[in-house]
Amino acid sequence: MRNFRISNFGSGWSGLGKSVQYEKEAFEGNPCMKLDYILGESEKDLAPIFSSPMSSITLSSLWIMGILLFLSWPYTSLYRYLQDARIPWTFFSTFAGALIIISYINIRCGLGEIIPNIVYARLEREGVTTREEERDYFSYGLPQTLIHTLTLLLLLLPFLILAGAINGIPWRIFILGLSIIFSASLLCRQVAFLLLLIWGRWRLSGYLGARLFFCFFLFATGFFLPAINPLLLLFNLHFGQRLPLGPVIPSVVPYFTVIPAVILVFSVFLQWVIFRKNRRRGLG
Amino acid sequence: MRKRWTGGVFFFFVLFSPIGGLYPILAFGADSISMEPHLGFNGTFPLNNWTPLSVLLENRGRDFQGRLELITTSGSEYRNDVRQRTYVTEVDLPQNSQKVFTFTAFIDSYSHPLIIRLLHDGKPFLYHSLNLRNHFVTQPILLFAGESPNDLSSLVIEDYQPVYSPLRSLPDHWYGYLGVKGLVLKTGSLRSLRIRQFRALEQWIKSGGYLILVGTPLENLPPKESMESILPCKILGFEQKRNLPALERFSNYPLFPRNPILILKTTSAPAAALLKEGDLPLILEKNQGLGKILFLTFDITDLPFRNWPGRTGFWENILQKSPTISDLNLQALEEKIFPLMLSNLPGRFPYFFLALFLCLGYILLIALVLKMSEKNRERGKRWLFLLVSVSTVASLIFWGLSALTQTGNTLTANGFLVLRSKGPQDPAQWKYHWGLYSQQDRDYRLPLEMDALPKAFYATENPALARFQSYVIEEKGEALFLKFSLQRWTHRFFTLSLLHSSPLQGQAQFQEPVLLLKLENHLSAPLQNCYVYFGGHLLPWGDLPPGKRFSKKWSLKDMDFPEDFIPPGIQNQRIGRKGLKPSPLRKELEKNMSNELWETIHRRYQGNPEVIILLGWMDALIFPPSLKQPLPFQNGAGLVIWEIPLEKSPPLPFGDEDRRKR
Repeated sequence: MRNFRISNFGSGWSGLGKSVQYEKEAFEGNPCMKLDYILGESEKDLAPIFSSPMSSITLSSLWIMGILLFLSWPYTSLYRYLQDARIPWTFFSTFAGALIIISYINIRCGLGEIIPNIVYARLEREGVTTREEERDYFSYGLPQTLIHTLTLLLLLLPFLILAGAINGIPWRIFILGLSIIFSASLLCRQVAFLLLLIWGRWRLSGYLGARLFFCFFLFATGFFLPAINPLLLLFNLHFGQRLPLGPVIPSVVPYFTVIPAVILVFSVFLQWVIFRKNRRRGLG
Repeated sequence: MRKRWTGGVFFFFVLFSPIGGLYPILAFGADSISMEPHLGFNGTFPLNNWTPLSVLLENRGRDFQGRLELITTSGSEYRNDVRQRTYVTEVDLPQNSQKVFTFTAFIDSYSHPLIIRLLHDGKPFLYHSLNLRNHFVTQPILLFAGESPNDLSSLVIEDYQPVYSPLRSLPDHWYGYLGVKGLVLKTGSLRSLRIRQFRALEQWIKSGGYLILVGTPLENLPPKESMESILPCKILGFEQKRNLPALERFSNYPLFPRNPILILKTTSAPAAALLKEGDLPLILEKNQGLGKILFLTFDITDLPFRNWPGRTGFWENILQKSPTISDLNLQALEEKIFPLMLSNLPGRFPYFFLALFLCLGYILLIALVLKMSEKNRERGKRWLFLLVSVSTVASLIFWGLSALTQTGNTLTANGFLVLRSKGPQDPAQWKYHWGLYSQQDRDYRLPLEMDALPKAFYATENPALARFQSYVIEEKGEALFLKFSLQRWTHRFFTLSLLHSSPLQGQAQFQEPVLLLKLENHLSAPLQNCYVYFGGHLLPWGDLPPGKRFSKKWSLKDMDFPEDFIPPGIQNQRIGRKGLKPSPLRKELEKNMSNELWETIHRRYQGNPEVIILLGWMDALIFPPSLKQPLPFQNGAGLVIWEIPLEKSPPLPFGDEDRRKR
């Protein structure tokens, strides 16, 4: 077993992109995640928040959300909607948009696809083992994923608040909607990262597998496992008892039982895979 | 032998054991309580109207507590718009007792059975279903209550349906009589009415009901207390008459009695004689509120009238004297109210352009932070903090924006009061039109006044929503509650009518050539944009603040007499020092209703200089004190129509001379 030196936690290892020996020392000295690691632009990180491509993707997601919000904006008066007993689509379209956007970004982050769009970017990263692959999942990968997903969610929060208010969504349902987005995107990132660990970076199998899972989880489960389909859940939250089509999901309990359980199982599994890989590399 | 002994011990043990103690509980089954419903007036009810229904419950078992439900259903399963009205009351039946529970229910369909359920612990305990097909009538009812008169079939005409009802079936709420054109009641029967029945009868008369009291010279004198409150009179004895030519003329049929007819010698100060035989009044007439009471000083249900063919003519003429409840028919106007209330509901979406600029600003700010972070990646924590701060502040701003315009929309409501008062003493009719609009699924429970008449309107353009339009009227002790659900993004309309004392006091006098009007406004809101209508002329009065006395004189000489009636337009007057404009709801209602309202008034009163009409608007929804507290109204308006009888009228037709001169 590795000897975690907790006393050294946060003692200021900020040197990034240095020699392997230095990295090994750093790893042994401080195996936990530090904010600086995921904020910079290093080939040692799968998806640094402030890297150029990540910034561009984040900004694009904001634009998309803004467009979605104003596409589904109720342009007629409130009373017209009440008169015809119509429900504006704003809440569902915005929340579904946020779910798809954040989940897809997380898939790409998990696979380490978000790299600068330059010729040498891929070459630089070829053969480099990222910190996520090296370090304990519970002490590095998971906190990093949580922070990144939360940051993405927080950036989209103003749009979601406005959409929820337009539909008169109560706080309880609003929080449920946020939780669905957060948990679903977390799972997507875990699956993508698992595929990266198993098949390696930039493999076609990983690329397709992650996207297949994305489609399966977000769309296909609606046909045979509607209770755990996040989009259908958001649809149910949007319409309540006035659901115009699709299966009625009377409770969110199955979703919030199964998905967190799956996330937990994946976390343990990822931890085990990393541990095995590290032992093979002689890092453990 | 041993077996028998052990068996006996076992039986003894079981009998006195806790299991044995369960026997009475097990015996407390559906058989221990019996239910006997009585629908309408002796089994007949007016369709599309309110009707009384009583349920006799007899408990031969243990004490019983539960709920009694009466469910009326309307709509069509084919159209998927079936809806139910449920009337609920609490039941407390002691051991070996029987009680009568009364309801006043609205029935507008005979195709669904009427369901009566007794519930215990929320579960159905007794169930009764009544087929309504053979019980309804579509004409107004001429109700003979009390002793059963003989054959009523000769009285059947197109305009009304004569129906007999025992006294116990008479309604406990005034609106239970709304399907009744006239109630014929022997004076002695007043004594047998329950307190609630008598109160309902009084209120019905005040609201426009028509009571025909039949004097019974051969029976006991009418009960003094009851008569005192509805028709104070003195019975001085009776007189015998061989013939009644006045009555024959009234009924258009000769009368040949074998025996002398007994007539009560009656004097009554507030009543006027409608029909007299010499000096002896045969029919006394008294207006009460919006309604009327007739007092027949002879027994029309006894010989020689019992089989008299002139009865038909007599009742037809009597019914022609019935009060015209709505001197001013505002029904067509009131139909406009709900759409106007909906289009002026107190709620809106967030301002689009403000939201657009805020969103653009937010995205640009985030873009700026991200751009700056690319230049100086060393300070990643600072950029993250900045990003989180910008996003948090933006979230708060967006939340504030939505709270400013939107939060109230989750449930919003408005109301419009039409307050109609007639004369200085009579009770006013307070008619509330309520609109409730919700963006969320919620259940509501509104307290009502006991005598308030609730009515739901199914005003939705989406027929699929009609199935959500059921409601429950729950009676708890002396309190009445209206319970209903609102699905998200739906609305409900209700009207509530009640009779309450008039908040306006005053008098109108004509002292040639001056018209003098004195008024006290006891409302809690100002009356705005007031006009007085008098014999075809509109006299502006402006605003009348609350709690003050006003007096105004108009000289008829100075009046202009326009050939064509021109209703006043809306005046966007500023009220008081605060400089408030009329609320959008009031402004819209005034704009859309004013002209038609004045034209209706003009049509009805243009040749009548005995009445002055005061019409004013309010910017607030005023409730009588008992209804003030728990209703969620955020916005409201009101219209006051006050018909004031002139104490001294000008010569008829005034104004014509001036017209001729011109």
